[in-house]
Amino acid sequence: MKKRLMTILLSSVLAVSMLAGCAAAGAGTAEAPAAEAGEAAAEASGEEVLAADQTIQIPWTATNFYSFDNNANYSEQEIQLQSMVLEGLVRPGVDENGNDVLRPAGAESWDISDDGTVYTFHLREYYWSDGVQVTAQNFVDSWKRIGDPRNAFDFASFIGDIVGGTELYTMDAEEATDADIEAAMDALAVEALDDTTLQVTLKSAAPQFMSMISTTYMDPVRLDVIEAAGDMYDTDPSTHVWCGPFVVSEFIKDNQVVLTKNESFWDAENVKLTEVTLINIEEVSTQNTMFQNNELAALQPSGDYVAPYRDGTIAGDYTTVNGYFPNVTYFYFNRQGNSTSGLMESQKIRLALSLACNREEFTKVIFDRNNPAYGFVPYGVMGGSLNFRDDVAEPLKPVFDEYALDTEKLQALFKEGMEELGDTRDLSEVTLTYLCTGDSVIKKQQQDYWKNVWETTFGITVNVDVKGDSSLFREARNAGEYDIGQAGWNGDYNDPIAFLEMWSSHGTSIRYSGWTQELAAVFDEITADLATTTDDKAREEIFAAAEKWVVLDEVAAIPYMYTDTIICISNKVKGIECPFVGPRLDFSRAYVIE
Amino acid sequence: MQTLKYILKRLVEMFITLFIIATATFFLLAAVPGDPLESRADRLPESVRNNLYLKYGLDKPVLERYVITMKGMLKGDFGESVTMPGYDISRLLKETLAPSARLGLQTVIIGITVGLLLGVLAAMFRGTWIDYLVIFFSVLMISVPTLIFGLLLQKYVAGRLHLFPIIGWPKGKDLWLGGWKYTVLPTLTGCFSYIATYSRLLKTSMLDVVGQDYVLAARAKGLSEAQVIRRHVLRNSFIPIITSLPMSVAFALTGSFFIEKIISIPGFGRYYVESVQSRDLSIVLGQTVLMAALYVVVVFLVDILYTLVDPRIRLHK
Repeated sequence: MKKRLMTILLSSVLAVSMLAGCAAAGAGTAEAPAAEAGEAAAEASGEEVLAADQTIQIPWTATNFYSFDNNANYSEQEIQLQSMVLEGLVRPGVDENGNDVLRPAGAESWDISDDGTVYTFHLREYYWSDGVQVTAQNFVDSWKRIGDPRNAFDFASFIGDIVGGTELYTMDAEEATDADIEAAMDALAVEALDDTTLQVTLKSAAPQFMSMISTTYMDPVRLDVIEAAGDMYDTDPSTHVWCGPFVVSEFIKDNQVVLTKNESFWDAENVKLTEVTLINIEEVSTQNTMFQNNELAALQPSGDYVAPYRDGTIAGDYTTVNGYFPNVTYFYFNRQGNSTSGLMESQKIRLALSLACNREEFTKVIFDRNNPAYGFVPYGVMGGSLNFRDDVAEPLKPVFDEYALDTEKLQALFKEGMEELGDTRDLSEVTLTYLCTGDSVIKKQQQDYWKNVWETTFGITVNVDVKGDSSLFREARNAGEYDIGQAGWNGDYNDPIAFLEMWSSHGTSIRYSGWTQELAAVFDEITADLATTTDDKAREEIFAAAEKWVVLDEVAAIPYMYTDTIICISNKVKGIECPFVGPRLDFSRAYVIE
Repeated sequence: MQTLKYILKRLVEMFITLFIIATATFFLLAAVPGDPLESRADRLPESVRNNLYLKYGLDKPVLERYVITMKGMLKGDFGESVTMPGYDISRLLKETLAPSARLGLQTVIIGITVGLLLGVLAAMFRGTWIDYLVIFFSVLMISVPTLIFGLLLQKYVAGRLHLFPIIGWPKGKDLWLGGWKYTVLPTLTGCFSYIATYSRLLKTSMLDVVGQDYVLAARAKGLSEAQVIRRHVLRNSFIPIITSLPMSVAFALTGSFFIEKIISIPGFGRYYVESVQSRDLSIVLGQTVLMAALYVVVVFLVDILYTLVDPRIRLHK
């Protein structure tokens, strides 16, 4: 439903989550010329000789891998691994235009009822690595299991759209009896009509459901295997069976996992790699050394290595692609009535603060990467078959251009807001508290940048309250000791609602971003029609209205940056696909050439 | 009899020490803002979050958790890690201690041997270029962080010259003996600080001893310089070495955060830092008690060792 938000901006931007990749064949930004992808494609169709040695090594933050239990997963690294060893109903991929698509995988086909509430999946005949067939019941078991409140799985809310889903996952595991919970599990409207037919009934139309079930959390499970494994199910891969392109053949905690080709995979003939090692390499410079020595198939450069790799000034045999990432980085306001300055209730002041942000300069000067944000839904997000940002212009941009960072106009707007609140102080007497965490140089640079922007634009004082770690940050945030806070949000599935839902009454902003139920109710009203809308175009209009409300009419947040993704892929390795949402690198059909 | 009583007394003291340390660790960690589930739970719907806290017992008051933790500890059960499901301290040690211990052993053996040899050389050739060279390199080795040495060796010796693998560690049957090529760079990286420490320590200590009257006496009765050094100077210079040696060994066994990190060695070192950052109580407690136990045992052994080196020292009054 939501989440995987990284507390503070940089954790998401800088975290060396090695595998955040992007489409080799597309999803490029304006800076990643289509020609590059075109060339790659031309080469791919040229004379390629498969290398004798079909093994590759890829850097992978093993320390963020916690469990082999796909229902229990929550990290990007877990998704990366599971998507290579499990085969769910559909597999995220990238089409020739660089847009994300869902390809039939475990399901050969599916039907959706006209009102968009009944999904019927027709499974292909495919098998677990122990020779047992993957059945519709395996999916039923998985979805009931993920929602079981006794398991306390992070992504339990992914069954929320199914009839009986919310009732199940919101149960209090302490108060409810086992019988109650089991009754609720039985009531979940997902059913195996026969071994290869899976039917699920949704409460209302929810086209994002397809993207949600493409995540590995919703992949099938074998209850008999789980039971036999007992306590070791989470951490001992030898207790598992697999149904994806690869199987786990070796696992060293927090260090590496070795995958070997699954000979019994239904599409095994198109899986060329025989062995893939995902390995933890923490030092950026070590990764660089290894990539230069052709010991790594892919590299996501970070820190000082980003610019030279992107600009091709580091010599080598690789292709660099600069693509989108499902992230928006933003400021939020303390709207719970206790903001430090008392000024955050004014829409005009919030808007003035937003319009003062020179996003182009910020991304250029501080990061020399990423993209300026004038909306809340990042580039690359698909609403069904429609690429949202292709159709809907970013709502803040025209207003931003109108004000054009004109100090006088912005000050006047700020002043108007103060007058409406009955505050007659001079701007120089105003102090805003900007709450953030930060221990690194780059965080400090950002804090100084925004402090300076607001102070010089408005002549106010901005007090940067830097917390040493995220726990201290949360403590101050929950106590309301701020005006402006800083956050980032990563979408967990591919739909505009994955970014906007946080402002709804069942979203996380109420606890997380200074939001209130009253404000959320307005958002709910704007998006109420979603429940009965299945048409992509009609949904897009609702999302556009909701986004405009979030960033312009209400100014719930100041979005200022969409994170991008930069990945270098060795020219020796072809066919790595990087969907916008899903595994960062899908190497299931990749191969090594001479 | 007296010795036995002394040992018993020391054992009881050890247990009390460990108990105090465990209690202090528990409450210190409880007093720091944040808990292991927080960053994960922050983004979850309310009901899911509550169920998560319930699962790990973190919804209970601090004192109740303390009693539960201590009861478990008495039975040797430190509890399951919150951030690493399925792992407790003993499983973690079982899976990760071997690489750390091997690296540590190789490092101390080479580091201390070379260090002591250089120390002897520096002392014997005091004031010559050998002395200055040894001291120069000691100062260099001790002031440049391990991390830098590691990265430099990695980049040039492994990356450019291709003499050794860039990262990795022997696994499977090679875990203890074998796969030596993987261990060369990390061992080298780690032993620098031991070389530096022990060469300077021994040199200083030897210079002290060389000035003593009994050394003059030994020389006067016509012993060769080698005999003087071996029989009289070295043995008496070893008191400070004995003080630090066991601690070096004990700590080396339990892993090096930086070396393991840059060489991607699946060792124990990282958990010292990470478990505290994530407020993962069971692991922090396990490590603290383990280190404290190692420490008190080693101190005890050192006390016994002293009597061997210097008969003037007695265990008990």
